[in-house]
Amino acid sequence: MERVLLLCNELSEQNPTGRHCTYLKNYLSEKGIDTETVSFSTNQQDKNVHSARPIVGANNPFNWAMLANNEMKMQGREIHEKKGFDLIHAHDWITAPAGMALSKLTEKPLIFTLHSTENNRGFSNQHSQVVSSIEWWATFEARKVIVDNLDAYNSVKYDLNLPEHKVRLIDPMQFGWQEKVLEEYQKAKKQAVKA
Amino acid sequence: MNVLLLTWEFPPNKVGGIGSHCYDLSRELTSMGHEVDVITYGEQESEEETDGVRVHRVPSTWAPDTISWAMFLGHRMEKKAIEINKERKIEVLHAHDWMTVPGAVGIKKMLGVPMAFTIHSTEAGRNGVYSEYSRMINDLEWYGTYEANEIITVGRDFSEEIKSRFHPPAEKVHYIPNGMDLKRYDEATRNTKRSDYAGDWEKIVFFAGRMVRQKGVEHLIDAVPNVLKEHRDAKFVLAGGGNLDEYRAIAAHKGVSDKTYFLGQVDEQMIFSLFKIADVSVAPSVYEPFGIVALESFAGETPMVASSVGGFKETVKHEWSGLHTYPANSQSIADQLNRVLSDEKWGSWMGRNGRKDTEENYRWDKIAAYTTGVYGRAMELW
Repeated sequence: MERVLLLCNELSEQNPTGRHCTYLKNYLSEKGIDTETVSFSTNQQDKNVHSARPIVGANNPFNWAMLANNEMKMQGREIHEKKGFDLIHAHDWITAPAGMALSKLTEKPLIFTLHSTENNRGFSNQHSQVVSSIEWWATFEARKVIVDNLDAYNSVKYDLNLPEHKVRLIDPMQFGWQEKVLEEYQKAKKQAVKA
Repeated sequence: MNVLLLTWEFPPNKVGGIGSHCYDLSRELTSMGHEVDVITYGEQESEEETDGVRVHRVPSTWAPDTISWAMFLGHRMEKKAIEINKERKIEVLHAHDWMTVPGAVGIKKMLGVPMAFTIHSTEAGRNGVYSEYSRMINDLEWYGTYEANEIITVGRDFSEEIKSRFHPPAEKVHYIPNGMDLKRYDEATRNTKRSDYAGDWEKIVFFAGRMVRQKGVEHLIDAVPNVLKEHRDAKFVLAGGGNLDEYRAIAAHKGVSDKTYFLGQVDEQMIFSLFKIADVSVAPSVYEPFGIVALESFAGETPMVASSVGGFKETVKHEWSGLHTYPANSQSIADQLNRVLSDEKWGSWMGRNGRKDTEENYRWDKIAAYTTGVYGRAMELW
């Protein structure tokens, strides 16, 4: 494993998913794996961290995310053209369109982490159905789906009908969780080479 | 060159004029020797090839509104474009109207290809920008003009509207009119008989368009009594989907229900036939960037009475191929209809002039050639 492309909504220590991405990025760097991160929101001054902000506003979070993904895709393509990467790791539905498209374009495996599903969040707004569709597509197209809690594990299995062998629960509260993520990277890369 | 056309509608799925436009353009580009792929919406994923044009249909998903639906459709279009690009390197991308903008920009950024964007109308002109929702559509139109390397507009006046509304660099904006496939029109109407649609004593006034405010149908209905005063034998035939009940109610309120026939949505062949057998066609639009109905009317050698707005200012030549009316003015519509209906020979002469003008100036081979010029510019400056 030489280089990983991380796609995150937020890269900060201010919220759980932002922390998750930050700790993972730091761990991978410590292990000598080049990590390029594209995020919609970051205050990190790092040459390997790229900000993707939409240039047009939107009337709701779903439309905002879809437009922001266009910028994320461009950043991802440019990184691929300049440096290349072995694997894409997208986090949550909000980065899934870019993750899926970049995986299709570069033919690199996609790892998809779901911190929660739309069903876990209550399926409670008018965009729940379309968000859930994106989650389904991303779990379908990903080489491996990682969840970090039992609720998400059950939802991915029963709401999104993902076969058990494609999903792994990795609890970020437990020691060595990043190592398990890396393990999945290695497996996905091997599978991709075989394919 | 390898061209990818993006349109949300493509025959047989048609709502407005964009589907026909893309159909004719794609066929003409193919006959010029270009490789053309079209990605459009379909209920199920499918592929077909007609006259050398490869049409890829992709579904969207359930969404609470058209914008979000278009966003998801864009995502599916983009995946399809990546597949196509692996087989044939796409050299230029051509998107049509705001519904394809999210997907088109995604493809442009993902594949690194130049983008042309044809804008057929604006939200401000169609419905007005009065809510968060319509503002979002307006913003997507801006986004398309911002991201496109070259912008194509279908009307000269409309070019100025785009420049003043979205402020793109002027040199990026190109006016290329819509076109008319006269061969297809003639084939479709070869067996059309007037007696199938109207009695010998009747004078047919034909309207084709969506039943929405933009098309000015209420002004036409307002004009009907004043036409009937002079021409009791006039019969108004209106084809198009939309707010049919509302307009039927207006006609009933005016007491002209027995003289106004609302056909609802009908197929292209019937539209063409009705244009051919009509004594005069009418287009009372309050906003019309181009107005393909003028060319459809002229193809059938039928003169048109049209509002002096947008594209009609160019396509309908006053007192030569039709008559202009003041926009949103029912008295003006009635006056001009009465003028044509009172002089059959003059009407026929204007209809023939319209056909000649269409043959000379709105041929698809010309339009496709202009369009490839714009593609060339987009590629050159990329």
